Amino acid sequence: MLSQEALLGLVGRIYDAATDETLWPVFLEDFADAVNGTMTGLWFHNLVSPETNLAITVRSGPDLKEAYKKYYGAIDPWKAAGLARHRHPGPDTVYTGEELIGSEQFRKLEFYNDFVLPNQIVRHFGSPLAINPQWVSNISSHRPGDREPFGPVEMDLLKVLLPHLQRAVQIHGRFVELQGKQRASLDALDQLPIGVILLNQDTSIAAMNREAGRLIGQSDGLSACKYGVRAAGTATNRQLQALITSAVRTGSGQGFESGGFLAIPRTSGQRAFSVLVTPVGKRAFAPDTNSPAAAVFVTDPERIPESAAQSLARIYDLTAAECRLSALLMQGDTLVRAAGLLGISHNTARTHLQRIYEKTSTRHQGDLIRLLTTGIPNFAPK
Amino acid sequence: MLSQEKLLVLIGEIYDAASDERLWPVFLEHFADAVNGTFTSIIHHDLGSRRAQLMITARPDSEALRRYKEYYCTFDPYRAASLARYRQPGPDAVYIAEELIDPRQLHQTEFYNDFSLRHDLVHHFGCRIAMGANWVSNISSHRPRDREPFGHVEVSLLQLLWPHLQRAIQFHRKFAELQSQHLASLEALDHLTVGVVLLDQACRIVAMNREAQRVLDQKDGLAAGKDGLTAARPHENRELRAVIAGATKTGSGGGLGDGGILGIPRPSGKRSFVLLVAPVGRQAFVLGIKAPSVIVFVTDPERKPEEISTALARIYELTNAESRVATLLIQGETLTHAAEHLGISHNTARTHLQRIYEKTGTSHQGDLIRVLLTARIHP
Repeated sequence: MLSQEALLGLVGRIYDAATDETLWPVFLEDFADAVNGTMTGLWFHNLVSPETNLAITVRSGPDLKEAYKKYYGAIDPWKAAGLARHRHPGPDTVYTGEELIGSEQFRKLEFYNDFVLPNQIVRHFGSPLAINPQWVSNISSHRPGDREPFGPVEMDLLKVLLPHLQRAVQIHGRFVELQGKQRASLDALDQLPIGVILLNQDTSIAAMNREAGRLIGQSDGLSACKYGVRAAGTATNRQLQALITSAVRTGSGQGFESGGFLAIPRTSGQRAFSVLVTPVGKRAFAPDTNSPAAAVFVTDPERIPESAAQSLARIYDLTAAECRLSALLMQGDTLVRAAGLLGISHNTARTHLQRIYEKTSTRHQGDLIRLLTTGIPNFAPK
Repeated sequence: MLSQEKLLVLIGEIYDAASDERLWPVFLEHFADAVNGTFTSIIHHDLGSRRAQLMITARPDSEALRRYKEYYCTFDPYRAASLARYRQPGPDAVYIAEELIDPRQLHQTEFYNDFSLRHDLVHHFGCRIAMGANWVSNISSHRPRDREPFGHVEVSLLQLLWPHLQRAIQFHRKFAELQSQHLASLEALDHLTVGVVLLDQACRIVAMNREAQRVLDQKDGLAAGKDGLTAARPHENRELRAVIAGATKTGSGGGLGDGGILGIPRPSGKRSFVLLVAPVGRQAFVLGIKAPSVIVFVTDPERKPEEISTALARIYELTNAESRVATLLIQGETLTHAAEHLGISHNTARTHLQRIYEKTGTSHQGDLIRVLLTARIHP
């Protein structure tokens, strides 16, 4: 039997892997040592689409894993028998290969003769870790046929580890779920034509989206540094920092002011950036985690909306010529100029425009521009 | 000494608390049992203010708790002495009060006489489980004066638990960080005039922003059912599902479809909702996890732009009268209508418009509307 120190070490390595899946092999190596096994691994079987099955193994060749995934996984009698036995994993779900299938029957199978025997994995023991309608996960270890079968010592060890393995798999799941949500919401921000910067409680930048990166990259009155966001003019910067400070305070639950709007003049003389600072603060509490407490939105009035030609053609059935004309109008050109640019007569342009009004149920240019700027997604997914 | 079985259960409870912070008291209660202690707690101290920011307790004396939080936490001698003696947290830094501070010295302190003695929290042992530049988290337990002081058995138990406590605190921080970034991004999305819906691989809604909720609340051709996002008419619904399925495959690493644009007609006869479907950047693969894999942007062409905010007016130095004219123009009125609506002459309206052009650096109505409407946000 394992010493207490070794056992606790093994338990610790299970949890190391819970938020860092690259550490599973470290645990599996130690576990294989402890049970004196050869190929040892965690298996995730997707019962709906087996092509996404996943295995993390040690002491096994890549060929074996590939062959199992491609063919033998589907006819694995251990898996089938293990699944048939239990609905919920627990100490009584720890099994040995010999318990699952009689050896006489086993030796007649293709799985045994073509896969188990040549790979020297005749002795087998393990347990399910999670059983769901769509997927199951399993831990198992093996030994060659000429060695002792696994017995009560190994089974008892696995019984002790089982609740920790199950908990680690759950923690891992929750971690991946949260990570997925965090990435997806940042991704959504990334696709928008508005600059968004999330600031931590200490006003440093927690995250910014692509448009914010683009605007700051222009070095035109707005910059980012270690301490957060800065405006070029001293007076403007003072106002900006005051808004940020009060929003961050509110976002950290220590104030009531709500941030506000500010124009940030550009050194190039173009139209000022319009900036909104606002608290954000529905955050999970953890001591001293630097979590976002304020959001800064930056819009650029000089930004030419990306051509929404695809949307227009699709949603309002505009022809290619009508799309081209509406794109120019949307970028701020007059009808006369647009006609000139497109090399068509003013009259033709008027006819196009009339058709566009009809198709989009708008009545005049202002109305059309409003629809084009706000009524369709005028940004392209990146 | 604790049996191995009980020890492993205690360790398990530490990790239960790591993924659900409401379970910390369960662990603390059983830890208090194991060390035969009374008041047992995990306390997070801010070293700047020396305040106890977060306290998780088992078997608390509420009066002691209140007095500690309000006053005594700022000069807790154990915190100061353990920080002075052990630079880094670790299993070797588990201390027993009697060994940490000379009792003769301790007995002269206000903390001991007015707090420890008064609440009978005389025997004490514990350690730091995590620390940063200006904070520490400690775990500790107490016993009354008439009982034995804590000894070697309790110290070695805490030393065994220490690596697990530390790992659990790290998990907790990682979780909280991801969670708060996700929530903050969603809140940021709430300020936008475009609807955003995050869908998982099965088309179920994982999260959405305020504008998306507003669109769905109209129950006008687009709905959130138990099968996820659905269009009212079968034809559009099939199309929607197909686009989402394509993007899902990309989002979950199995395809290269890049989503697309489609219109969802409204039974009310209003202009169709316009949907832009895009895959989420590739996700880590784990079976059975509900992670978002598709983003759906929803725009409502009938949504009337809000009036020109005082902030925008200030940016362009528009007068109140000019703001009113500009608001009607961005809401789709002609200048003539706007003049009538505001009860001013057409000429006055033209003068206002001329001034607005000058102030915004625009030359005609279409250009003005574009500048005022490009990517608006609402506070």
